[in-house]
Amino acid sequence: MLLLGGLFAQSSVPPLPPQQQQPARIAPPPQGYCIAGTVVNSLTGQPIASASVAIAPLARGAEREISRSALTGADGRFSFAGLGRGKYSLMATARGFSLQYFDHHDPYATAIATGPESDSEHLVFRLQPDGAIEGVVTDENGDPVQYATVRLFHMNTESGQQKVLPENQAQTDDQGRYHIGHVAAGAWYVAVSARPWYAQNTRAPEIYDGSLKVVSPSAQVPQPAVTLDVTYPLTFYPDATDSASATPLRLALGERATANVVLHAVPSLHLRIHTGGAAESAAIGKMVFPAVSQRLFGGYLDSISEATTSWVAPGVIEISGLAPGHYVVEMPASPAGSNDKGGRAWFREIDLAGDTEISATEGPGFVALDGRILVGNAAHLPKPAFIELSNPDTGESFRGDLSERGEFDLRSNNIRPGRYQLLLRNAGGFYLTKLSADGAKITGRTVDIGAAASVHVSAVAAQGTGRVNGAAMRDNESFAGAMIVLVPQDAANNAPLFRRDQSDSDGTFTLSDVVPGQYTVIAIANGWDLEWANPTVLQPYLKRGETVQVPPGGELNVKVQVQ
Amino acid sequence: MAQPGPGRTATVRPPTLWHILPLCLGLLAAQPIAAQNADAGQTFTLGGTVVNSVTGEPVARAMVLSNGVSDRMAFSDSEGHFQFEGMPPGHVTLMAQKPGYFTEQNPSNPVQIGPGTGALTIKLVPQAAIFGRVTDAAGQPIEHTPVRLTAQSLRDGRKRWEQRGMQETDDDGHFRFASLMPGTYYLAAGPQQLETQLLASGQKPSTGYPHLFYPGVPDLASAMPIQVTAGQQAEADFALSAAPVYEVSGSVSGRQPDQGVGWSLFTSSGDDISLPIIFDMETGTFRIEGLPAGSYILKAFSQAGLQPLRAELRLTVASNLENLRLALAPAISIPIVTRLDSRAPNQTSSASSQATAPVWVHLVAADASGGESFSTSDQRTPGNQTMVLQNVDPGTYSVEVMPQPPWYVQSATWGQTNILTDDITVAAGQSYPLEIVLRNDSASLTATVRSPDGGGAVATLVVVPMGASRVSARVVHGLSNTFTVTALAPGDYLVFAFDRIDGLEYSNPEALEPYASQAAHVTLDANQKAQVALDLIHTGKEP
Repeated sequence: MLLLGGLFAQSSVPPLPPQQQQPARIAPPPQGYCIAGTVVNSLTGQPIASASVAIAPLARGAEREISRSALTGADGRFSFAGLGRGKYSLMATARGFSLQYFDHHDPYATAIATGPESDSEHLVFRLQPDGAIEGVVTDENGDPVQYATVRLFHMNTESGQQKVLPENQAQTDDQGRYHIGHVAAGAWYVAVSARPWYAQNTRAPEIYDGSLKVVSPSAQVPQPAVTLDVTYPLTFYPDATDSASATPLRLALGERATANVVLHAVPSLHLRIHTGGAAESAAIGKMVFPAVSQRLFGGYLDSISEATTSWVAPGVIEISGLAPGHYVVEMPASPAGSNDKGGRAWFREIDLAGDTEISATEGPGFVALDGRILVGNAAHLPKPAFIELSNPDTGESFRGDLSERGEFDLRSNNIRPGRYQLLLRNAGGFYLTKLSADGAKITGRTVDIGAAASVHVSAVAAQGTGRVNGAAMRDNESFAGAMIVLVPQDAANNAPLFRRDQSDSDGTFTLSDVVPGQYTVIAIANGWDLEWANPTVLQPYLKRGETVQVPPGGELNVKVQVQ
Repeated sequence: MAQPGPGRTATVRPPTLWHILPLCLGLLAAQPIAAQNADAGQTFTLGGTVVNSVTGEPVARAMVLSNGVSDRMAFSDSEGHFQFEGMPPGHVTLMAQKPGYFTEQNPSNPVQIGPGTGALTIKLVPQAAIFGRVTDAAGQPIEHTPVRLTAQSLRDGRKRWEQRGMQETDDDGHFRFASLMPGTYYLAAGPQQLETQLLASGQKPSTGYPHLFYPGVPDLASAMPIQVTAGQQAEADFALSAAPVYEVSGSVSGRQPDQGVGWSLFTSSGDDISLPIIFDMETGTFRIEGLPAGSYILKAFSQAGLQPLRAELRLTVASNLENLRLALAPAISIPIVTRLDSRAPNQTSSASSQATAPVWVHLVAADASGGESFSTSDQRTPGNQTMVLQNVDPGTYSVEVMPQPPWYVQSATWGQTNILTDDITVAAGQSYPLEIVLRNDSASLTATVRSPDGGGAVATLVVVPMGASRVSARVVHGLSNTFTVTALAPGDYLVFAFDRIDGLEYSNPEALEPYASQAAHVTLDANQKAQVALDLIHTGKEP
């Protein structure tokens, strides 16, 4: 069962989707069926009293709403009797336990099936206790650092590849303390960014005579002391200033871990950007400023908020407060004026080890990407449909709305060369086929963008995505809680075609919105930490999977052996 | 004076030398002071210690700034010492700063640099904090509970209630308000839903946590003030017990079609309650769920064109309330009619020649129960003598009338109310103007303050009209021995010269009573320029 969409309840409950499920066909016995069991602490096995437990029936096309709720008794027991045959989403929360769905592996969970063949009355609902990460941020003199931003980066495989992405953040108080609660078990990186309270990085605009020469040294505005022109590099627990040498904190279930971080001020680097002739004569109001980011954990682009950007002379921008490191500078296009045609947009990857001057003419421009989606058979794409171009490595994603004629335009977006995935979103049963591109190489659903100045993408939207229903089996018994993966052919280039689910209490699952084609369905027990979209990781599971051919608009039923 | 350790003291050079200086601190420190005994004249070393004003302990890594004949910066070392070398003779103002401390005016400022300049002490006032934990009856933390801090402060010699912030408790139930000045504070927590309760759709919450003031009382009047001194870390915990909650619903009328309605719900003591207010644009009905028993003020805001519309309803909730009605009406506007009664000899009345009357009027919420303290400033229309106080919420206010010199307020009334002595109560439907008469035959008073050493002193002169139940005191502060107050209405005054007035409620005649024997009594006639000599009154407050 997939957990997405909106759940209508009066608590801060993670959302659920309108579920697409077979309606009940057999009338229940007069007394109905029952969902019952015990809520226990997954760590200790002890029953949890006064836990709030609720059920929401799953029905195809209907909003999912909590229909019943109850509190557990002193023995942790709960019971919902008089239920019809069907599937129910089961959830619980208690003091110290965030709201959780039964056997959840976000964003999936095991739904409870009721019926003559299902035992839904002896459930053990293992609630995972919340963990917390807290600590103190101090400077090299042992003074607390207030207003430091502490972020937790989580190492996970939710996207199918191992990724480290930011999840929670907090700010330090006057004592330098931070506390982040509701942290799940797993590998976490603690990253701290702050500005020394005494730092003065911005240099006053210089007195110039139209060129960049200072008119007279004595006319120069006083500069801040060298000792104040310092900055804190982004610092990872326990003591690393680049993400590659950071070590994760492995938080156990319910653990409260302490991660103290000491920040060391380093001389601030200044990056001067000469934006080019057109911009040098541009009015201040027309100046555009660059975005600066840092690549973390080999991919994620983290924008730098601690640096200050200032205009120091006509057409010259200075970014100060930077620590040594590798940066990505992105400059948007400046608008054209009456006397100039405006500045082009460009970007630059740069390693900073000292004060540096760069010129706009040295940076490559962005890729101007547009395209058109043709719709066959005089059909029309639903209004909210849009094209998404996403880079799984950097976490960047660009959205192109579709015109009446199916055109989309990402030319004003800052697209750099890289491997992108192309998806049609919100298209209600339509899918992309016959992808081709001028200026880039398309393999499967992957667009390889090189140094080309412009790329034009064409594709056809066809109607009729399919559905694969199935049951996960082991030793001829239905198997609950297995990870189900629908693996496309040429998986490396077809990441958008993957579908996943978790088998429900009767072993059944549903993979919907499937693009027609050939796939292998696999079911893996205890496989939730696997890189499920990594072809090398998948390889050993494929031969015991079930191969399916999904025709346009088709609905298949399949039985899969759990591995 | 201790020698600064290597690298401990940072030195900023005079700006003109900047471009030739090496960018390395170590080199800077190692350089001889070129100006010493050279043709530039004799220079001096200025140094001292930064200390915590409460404990007297040295404060390390404080930034010390010198401004005046030489602009410098240095950090104090681990002993709190700082030092500026090569300072030319003259005056500088010294100031220290560091996170966690308030910068206090250094009493030895300005510092005279010369052969006799000794070691200086600069005090930093440590900031206070109020922290605590919100738990349920079983001692379990309650997360996401709003906690509000209200400060009782003095402004213009009057007591004021000021909201100093709102926080939500974390998953451990903790909250913390830091960077606080010494003073009197009140804390309130709640209301909060039972956050660990899953409700079926359509099911209403039946219990929740109420809104309570520290230490667990329902109103501000019975709340315990939390007094914090400089640097104090005060703990204030709350134990909330689940109590029945109710649903309040009704409708709002007087709305323009297509216009939205904004809503606010306040406790009777003025705390903005963050419960969601569900409003149906189609039917004009509203609903609030999970409201604990208590007294509230519900406010609705909308507009018709540019005209703001307001509605307000006071609620006492002890059960579910249905069919409440709010009627939106144009916000209250109070016109101000000013008459200039010119008495100055060689001057005709300027009433007609001036585009605007030389006066400002402010309404300040007078509700000392912590009600919202908003003040409304006037709106003047160019070329129009009439001023208007716009969009005034119903309530009780003190009116502050501030004329520009040489004008003084001869009389000010609103209906039957003399606003110089009494508060006004504004309600919908009232339309009479504030009538103000200004005169310009004002007197002035020059006071000479006798200080023990015969020189000038840092003093605050407070001039209070006699015989008024609520006074508008005139205050002049400075380092001098003569102080002049102009534009005084003819009449009798008490004149005080205080060494400091922090914490003195000088607009309250009762608060001045203990010092009355040390005050001078003066009677001012029209156009008089009077003189008075005074002794400095020591208020006994810690400087």
